[in-house]
Amino acid sequence: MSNNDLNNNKTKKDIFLSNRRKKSQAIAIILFLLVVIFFVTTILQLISNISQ
Amino acid sequence: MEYTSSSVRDFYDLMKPRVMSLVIFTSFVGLVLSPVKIHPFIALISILCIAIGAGASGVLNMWYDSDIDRLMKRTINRPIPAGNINKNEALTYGMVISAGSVVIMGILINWSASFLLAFTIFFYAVIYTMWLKRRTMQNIVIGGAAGAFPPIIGWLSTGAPIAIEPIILFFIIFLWTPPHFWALAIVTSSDYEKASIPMMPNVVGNDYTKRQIVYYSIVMSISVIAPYYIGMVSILFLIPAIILSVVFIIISLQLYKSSDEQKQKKHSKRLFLYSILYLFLIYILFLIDYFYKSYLGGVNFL
Repeated sequence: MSNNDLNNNKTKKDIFLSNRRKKSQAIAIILFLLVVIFFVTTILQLISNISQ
Repeated sequence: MEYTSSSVRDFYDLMKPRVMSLVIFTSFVGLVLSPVKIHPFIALISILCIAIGAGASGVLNMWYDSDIDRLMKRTINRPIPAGNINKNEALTYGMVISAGSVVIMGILINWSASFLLAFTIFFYAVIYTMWLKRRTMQNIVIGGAAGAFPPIIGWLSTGAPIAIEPIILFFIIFLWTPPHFWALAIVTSSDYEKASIPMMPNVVGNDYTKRQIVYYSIVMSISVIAPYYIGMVSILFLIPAIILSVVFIIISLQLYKSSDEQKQKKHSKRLFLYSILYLFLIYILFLIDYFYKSYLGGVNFL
C-alpha cells in the first residue's frame, strides 16, 4: 500500500468518525427533546384535567 | 475497512424537506381552522409528528425507488443513489421514524389523528410508491391523496370530529396534484422514460396530458370556490381565490395551446412553479379569512 493510499484511507476514516460523532450527537439531542416533549405535554394535560 | 460517509445532513435530505414544509403548512391550516382550540405546545407537537410522518414516507419512497432514482437526472443526487447512505440504513431509519411519529402522536395527541397519519404513510409508501407509481399513468391522481391528508390530520389532532371543512381542504390538494405533477412530467418526460415510469406524457402523449391539465384546473378551481358556498369563508377569501384560479386556468390554457416542444416546456415550467405559489396562497387566504373573522369581527362587505 502506497503513502497516498494510506493518507486517503486515513482521511476517509476521519470523515467517517466525524460523521458518526455528529450522528450520535443528533440522536442524543432527539432523545433529550423527546423526554422534554413527553414531560411538558403530560404536565399540560394534567393542568387541563385539573382545571376541568 | 470500507467507510460509508452518511452524515446527519443526508438523513435530513432523505426526508424530502421541501415536501415536509408543504405538509407542515397545510396541516397547520387544518389545525387552525378547527373549531376546537388546543394549547400551542400541543399544536406544535401535532405538527411535528405530522412532519416527521411525512418525512418517514419520503424516506421509504427513496428506499424503494433508489433503483430508478439512479437513472433520472432530477433524482440522481439523492442520498441513496449518490452512495452516501445504503438501502438498509434508509429502510431502518424510515421504519423507526414512521413508527415513532405514529406512536408519539397517539400517546400525546389522540389516536384518530395517529391512525390517519399511519394510513397516510402506508398510502404513500405502499399504495403509491410500491403499487401505483410503476404500473399506471393515473399514479399521481390516486397517490395524490397521500399529500392531501395532512390538513385533515391537523384538524383531527385538535380532537374535533371530521366535518366538511377539512374534506374541502383535502379535495383542493387532491385536485391540485395532477396538474402540478403533469406539468413537471412534461418537462422531465425523458427522465421518466429512462426509468420506465408510466407518467401520462410518456404513455399517451403531451396533447392528452395538456387536455387533462385544463380539465383538472377547472375542477380544482370549483373546489376552491366551494368553501364560500358552504359558509366556511367570506368574500375576503373568494375574490382573490377566483383571481388566482383564473390565472391558473389561463396558464394551463397557454400550455394547452402551445405546439412546439420549446414553448411546451416553457409553459409547463411556468405552470409547475405557479401551482406551488397557488396552493401556498390559497391556504394563506384561508388563514387570513379565519383571522379576519375571528379577531376583526368579520365585517360583511355585501
